[in-house]
Amino acid sequence: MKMDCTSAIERLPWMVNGTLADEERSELEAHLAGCPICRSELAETIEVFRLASAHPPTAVLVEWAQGREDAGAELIERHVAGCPACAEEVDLVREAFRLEAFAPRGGAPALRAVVAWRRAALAAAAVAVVGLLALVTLWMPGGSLGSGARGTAPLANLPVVELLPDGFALRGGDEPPVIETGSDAVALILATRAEAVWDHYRLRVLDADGRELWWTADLIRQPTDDFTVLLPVKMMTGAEIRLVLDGGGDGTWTELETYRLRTLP
Amino acid sequence: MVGVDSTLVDEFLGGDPMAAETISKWIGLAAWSFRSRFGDDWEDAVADATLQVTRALREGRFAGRGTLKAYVRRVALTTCLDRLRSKKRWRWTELVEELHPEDPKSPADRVESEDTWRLAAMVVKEMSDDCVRLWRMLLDGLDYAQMAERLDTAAGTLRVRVLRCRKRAVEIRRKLECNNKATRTPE
Repeated sequence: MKMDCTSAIERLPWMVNGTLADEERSELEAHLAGCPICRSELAETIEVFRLASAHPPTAVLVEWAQGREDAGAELIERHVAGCPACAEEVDLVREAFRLEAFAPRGGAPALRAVVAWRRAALAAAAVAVVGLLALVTLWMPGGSLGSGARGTAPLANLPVVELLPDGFALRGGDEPPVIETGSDAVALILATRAEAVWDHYRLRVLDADGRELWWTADLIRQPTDDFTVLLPVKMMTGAEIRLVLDGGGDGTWTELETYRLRTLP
Repeated sequence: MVGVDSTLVDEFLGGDPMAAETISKWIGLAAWSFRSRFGDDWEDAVADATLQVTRALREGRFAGRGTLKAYVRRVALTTCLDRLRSKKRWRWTELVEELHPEDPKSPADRVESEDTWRLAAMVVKEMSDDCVRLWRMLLDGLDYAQMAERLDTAAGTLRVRVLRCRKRAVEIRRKLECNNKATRTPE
């Protein structure tokens, strides 16, 4: 049966978003080929898609994230509130401002200072976790966790992976990072969106079935709102692991963020 | 332009290594928060930002209303965000290319100017919450059966609602464009 104009026009939005069934789409395309009125309706539909999906230009977003007030601030605020991708962009811009505020005055060694600070944090975490690993190794029968030369492990060569919490609407895809379990440990920098401050933070590592593989408590929230932790990856099994960051206070724990990692032997 | 900034711009454009190092560090710091998003491409993003900053300074686009450091940061952040956005294309791009072969840009690319975006944002603001919700579902790639199920309504009713919203959006856009023209027309 041939499609009439009313049916065709009503289906246009789903043709544009690419979800019409093949048969329906073919019928609609056949109708459009011979109907200039419906083709103009299609152009109008695309225009509304364009309006509804318009994001603020990046320069405008950067200005707004910086706190510049102008006549369009309310529009941007409204847009960002309903657009996870733009909210993520604003977070990135604000993180850049935070980093700059954290860097020493004078600017010259700014980037190096951030790296140095992170290295210092990693080194501190490394000392704690290497100690923990040593204890675990001593405690475990056979002590087969490491190569036997852990005490002299060169921390400078430690793999470093930054993890973003699940649910971040990444424009470039959301495949979890892959780490190799060949080294004893991997330094993780855990980014977080959680704004509330808790008395304690802990990290639990779970396998795909939800079994707890490892945990560590007393994580320290860094001035850049992230956490640094050394993960003993040799203990991790399974293709994908889930990390759960909890915030604690008054004897209870609340799940703040979850992260995913894929492991390769 | 403040004298110190003016000198730094001249030195940078003249190839002075100290000036280049200072500006490179500002760019690197601005782009630092993007490194996990870009992964291996992060250095390319920084190089792109450096290129944009150099071009902007060479063309004299830094007017000196703020500090040079703030300007460099703004250009670097904008470049990184543009790069991030370019990684994602709208799914109906091909359809638009079929309809407008002379215009190879995606709808997202075409919303470039601030004025165009403001108009779009005003239209969305004027739309009812129900219409905004329906268009978000469409943008999320839901088919009409899924939308009808979520909204607990018949598919036919839903299609009519979406059509009404579309007509309303076009009406609002026309009204706003008309008002804008009227405001800009000299008496």
